[in-house]
Amino acid sequence: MRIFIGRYTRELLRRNSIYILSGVIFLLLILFVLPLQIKAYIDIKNGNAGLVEEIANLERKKATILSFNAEEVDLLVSTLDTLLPSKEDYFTIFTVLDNISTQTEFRVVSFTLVLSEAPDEVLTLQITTEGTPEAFVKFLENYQYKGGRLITMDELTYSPATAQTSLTLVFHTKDIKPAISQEAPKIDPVRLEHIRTVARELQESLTTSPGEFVDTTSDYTTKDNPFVAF
Amino acid sequence: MSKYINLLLKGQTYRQQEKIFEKIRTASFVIGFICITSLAVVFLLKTVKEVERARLLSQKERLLSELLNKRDIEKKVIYFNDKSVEFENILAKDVNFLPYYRLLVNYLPISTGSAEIESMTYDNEKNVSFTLNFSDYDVFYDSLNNLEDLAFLKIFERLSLEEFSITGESTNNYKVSFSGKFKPVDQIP
Repeated sequence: MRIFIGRYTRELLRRNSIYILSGVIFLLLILFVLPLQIKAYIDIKNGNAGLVEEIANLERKKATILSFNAEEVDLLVSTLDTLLPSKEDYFTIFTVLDNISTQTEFRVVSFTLVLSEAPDEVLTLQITTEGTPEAFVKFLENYQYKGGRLITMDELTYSPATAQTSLTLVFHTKDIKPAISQEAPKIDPVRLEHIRTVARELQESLTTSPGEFVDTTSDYTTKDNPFVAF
Repeated sequence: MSKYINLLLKGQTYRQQEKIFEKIRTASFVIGFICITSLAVVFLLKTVKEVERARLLSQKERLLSELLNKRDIEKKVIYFNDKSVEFENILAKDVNFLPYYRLLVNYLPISTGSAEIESMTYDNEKNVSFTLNFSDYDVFYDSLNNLEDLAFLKIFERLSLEEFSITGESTNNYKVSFSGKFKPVDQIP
């Protein structure tokens, strides 16, 4: 079917064609280009919000790192490595027991290593001690870390009237692989202060303990085969 | 046969068409205005955000480069943090008997020598049991009264008398056994 368009109508169409065309173009721009531009704007805005968060994280991380000085970190790390070594070194146990005996006068007269059923990172030691109730109090003050290793007890039975007391000490080890991440390490100020106190007390107790003190650090060279010379 | 053109009717149609085209022109102007304004606003906002992004990227790059220079200390801080968490976790599992032992000794008449702790057992769940020996009845009686004192009972979540016995022939020996559970140290008034 042929549509008849009059001459006048054609003239109107010709005169207004520029408006019709630009109207269509603007409409297309609104329908297709504007949403893309808005999406691009939202993407950049979201990206910026992410960047702001990352920067805040990095700032926190930087502030955390700068709050330590290199010497203090070394001291705290070496304290923790001494108290909680990466792997068990049986020889340090003798030294630790000796230190505790010397510091507290709650003498360790015998001990037995419980190797069977011991889970990883834990070494159980049954000790027999003797000493006065005052020495027992000193022992309670010192045994946790002042001997040079982190020691815990799950249970304790004490009879002041009995000459000897049997205790079960648990020595701990922990191997930690530091993983660097974008997140700032969450250092609890209470925990930090406690470790500072532990480091200070450990240094004091090991340097002022009467008698001969032997450092418990296992920072010496080892060899895999004991029958081969270095 | 002659033809007639109705000029009045045609004129009315043309006016209607002109009105339609006028509306189309107005609509084009409105759409154009909206389109240009919207695009300009979005473009402006986008430019502002792009400038901000460039600034943030440069700030991030500066921070990363600063942190890279402190990589050694960062590793140590992270290691320290992880290890100190483990240290505290392990220490939290310890019996930590000292504060409770001191409290018990403070409340019990041990320093006078009229009573003594025969034995005590304590675990890391804060469960405790202890046996006291008294050689004198009056001291024993007073001590029991003291043990009922609210301040002493406040250090326990629960405390119960397990056993009571009198032994000995010439001199009486009074023995009482208790078992219970301590409150966490920070909750003791």
